[in-house]
Amino acid sequence: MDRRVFDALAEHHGLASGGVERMLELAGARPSRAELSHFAVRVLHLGGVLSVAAGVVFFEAANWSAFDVFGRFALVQAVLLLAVAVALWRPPPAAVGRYALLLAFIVTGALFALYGQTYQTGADVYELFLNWALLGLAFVVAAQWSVAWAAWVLVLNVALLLFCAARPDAGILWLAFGSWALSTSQLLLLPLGVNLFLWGLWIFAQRSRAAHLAPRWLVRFTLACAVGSGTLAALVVIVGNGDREGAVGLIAPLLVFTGLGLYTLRGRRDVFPLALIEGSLILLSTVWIGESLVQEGFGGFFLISAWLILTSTVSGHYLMRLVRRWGVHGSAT
Amino acid sequence: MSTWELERTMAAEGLIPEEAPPLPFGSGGRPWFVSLVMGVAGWLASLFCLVAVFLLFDPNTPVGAGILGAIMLGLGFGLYAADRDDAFFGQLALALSLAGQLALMYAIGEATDSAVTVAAFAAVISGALVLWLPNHFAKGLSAFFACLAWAFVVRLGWWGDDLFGQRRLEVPFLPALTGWLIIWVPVGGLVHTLIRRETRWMATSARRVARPALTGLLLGLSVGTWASEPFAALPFTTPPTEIPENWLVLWPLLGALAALFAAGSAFRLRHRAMIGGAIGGALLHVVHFYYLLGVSLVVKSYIMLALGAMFLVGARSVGAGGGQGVTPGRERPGGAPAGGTFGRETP
Repeated sequence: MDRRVFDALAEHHGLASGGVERMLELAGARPSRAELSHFAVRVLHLGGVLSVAAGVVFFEAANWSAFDVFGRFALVQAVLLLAVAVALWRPPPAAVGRYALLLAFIVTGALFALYGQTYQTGADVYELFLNWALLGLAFVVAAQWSVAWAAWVLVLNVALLLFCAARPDAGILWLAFGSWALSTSQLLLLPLGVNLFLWGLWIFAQRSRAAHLAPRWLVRFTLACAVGSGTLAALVVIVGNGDREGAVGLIAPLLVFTGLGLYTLRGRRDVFPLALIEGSLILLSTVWIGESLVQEGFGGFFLISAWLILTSTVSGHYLMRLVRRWGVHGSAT
Repeated sequence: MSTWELERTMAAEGLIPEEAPPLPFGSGGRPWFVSLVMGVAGWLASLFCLVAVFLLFDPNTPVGAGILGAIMLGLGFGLYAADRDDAFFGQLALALSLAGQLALMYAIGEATDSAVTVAAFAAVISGALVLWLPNHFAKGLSAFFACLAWAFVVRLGWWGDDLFGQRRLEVPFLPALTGWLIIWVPVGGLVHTLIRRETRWMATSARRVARPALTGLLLGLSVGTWASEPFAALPFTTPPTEIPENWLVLWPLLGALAALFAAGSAFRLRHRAMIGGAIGGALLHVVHFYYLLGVSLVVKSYIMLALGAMFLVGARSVGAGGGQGVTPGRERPGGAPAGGTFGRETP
C-alpha cells in the first residue's frame, strides 16, 4: 500500500496523530529497526564493493600508460580470476557469490575492450558488446540473480542497437543479415524480437520454480527495451525517407503493440505494458504531426501542445480506470 | 493487506467506528509510470505552448514576456483550483503553469542578465508553488525544481555564472565542500524531519503539502547534484593552459552519498520506485565523478578506495550492532527479498 493511500485513509476517517501511528503499525508500513539495519548493511556492502571496483578501474585508467601489454591483461584477468574464486568459495545464492559473479561479468566486458584496443582486429564495437553478452552469459546464469540478468539484457541491447544503428558491413550479425538488403527501421525489428522473446521467457519463468529470477521489475525492464526498439523503428520511418525505409518498420511494431495490448487486457495483471504502449503511441503521433506541420508557425506548435495534453489525458484516464478495476498497485508519486 | 482489510482491523481496535464508510476505491496516488507518461507529456506540451504563445504575441521586452508568463501561470492555477479531479484540466493546467514559469524566468533573465537572479527567482517561485498549487503532482515537481534552483543559486552566486567553462575555476577543498553542504544539508535535514514527524502531519491538512514535497525533495537528493555540477570542469573548448586544481569535482561523489541517503529515506517510506531511482542516481553520479576534470585520476582512485573501505567497515559495524535480525535470502517470486530488504511487495 503506498503512502498516498494512508494519507487518504487518515483524511477519510479523520484520524489523529495517534491513530495514524497505529494505522501505519497495523499495515507494517514502517520498517523495523532490524529491517533498517539490514537494508543499511546491504547498501553499504553494495556501495563498498562498487566503490572499490571503481577505485581499481580509476587507478588502472590513471596508470594505463605505465603498464605494458602483458601487465594490462594480467591486471584485468587477475580481477576476473579473483571474482570467480570468490564465487566458488561462496557460491550463489550467497550474496558474496552473486556480487562476485556480477563483477566477473562486468570485468569480462573490460577484457574484451582491452583486447580490441590492443590488437586492432578491425572488429566493430557492436561485436565487442555481442561477445561480452554471449561469453558473459555463463557468469549471469551462475549468479542466479535478477540484477545480473538485468545487466546482461542491457549489454545485449547495446550490442543490437549498435549493430542496427551503425550498419557495419562486417561481423557475425552482418553475415546473417547482409544479403537481405534491410533498411535501418527493418533492422531495428531485430532488438524488438529479441527483447520480446526474453520477455516471454521471464513470463514463463514467473510461473515456474525459477520465479525468483524474474521479478516484476526485470520483466518490465525487458518489455521497455522491446517497446523502445519498436518505437525507434517506427520513428525512423516517420522521420526518415519513407521510400527507402518502407512501411514494414512502422506496421510491424504497431502490430506487436496491438498484440501486447490484447495480451495485457486479457491477463489483467499489470498496467505497465499498456502505459509503455500509450507512451510510445503519443510520441509517434506527436512526431508525425510535427513532421506534417513543421511549416505552420504558431498554429503548428499550438496544435502539438493541444495534442499532447489531449492524448496524455485520455491515456491517464484509461490507465487509472484499469488500475482501479484490476486492483493492481504500483509505487505512487 | 488490502485497504478494506486494514479498515476492518482498525475498526476492531476502535480506531474508527464499525459503521464508518470504507475509503472509496481508487483513492490515493497514481502508479509512478502513469505519472511519468502524463508528466513528460505535460512538460513537452508546456514547451510547445510557450513557443506558440511567444510566436503569436512576440513580446519584445522583458515586461511583455513577464506579463505573458504571469497570465499563463495564473490560468494554470485557476484551472487547478476550478476542478481538482479532472485529468484534462489537470494536464492543461500543468502545461500552462510550467510554460508560465519558464516565461517568467526568461523575463527575469532578460531584465537582469544575471543567471543567479533567475535561479533565485526560480527557487522562490517554485517554493511558493509547492504551498499554493492544488495539484499533488505539480507540487512534487515544484519541490524538485526548488531544490535544483537553490543549488544553482549557491553554485552560481559563489563561483560565478560562467556555465560553459570558458574560465577555468580553481576552487580549494574546503570551499567546495562547504558549498555543497550549504545546498544539500538543509534538503536532507528537511527530508529527515518530514519522515520523523510523518504521523503528525498526516493527521492534518499539511499532508497535502508535505507528501508531494517529500517526493520532490527525495528526487532532488537523488539526482540534484547533476544540475549543480561544476560546469567549468567540462569546457566546450580546449583550455589554453594546464587545468588548475578544482575540488568542485568532489560534488558528484557527495551527490552519490546524498542519493544513498535518499535511498535509505525511501526505504523508511517503503517507496520501492524511489529506492531504485536513488540507487540509479548514485551510480550515475559516480560515472560523472570519473569524467570531471580538476583532480587527478590517481587521487580520485584513492578517494574511491578509501570510501569503499569505509563502507565495508561500516557494513560490518552495523551488522555487528544488530543488522542480522532479519535473515537475508533469495528473492521471492515477484521480486520481494525474503528479508524485506528493499521494501515489501503489496500483499
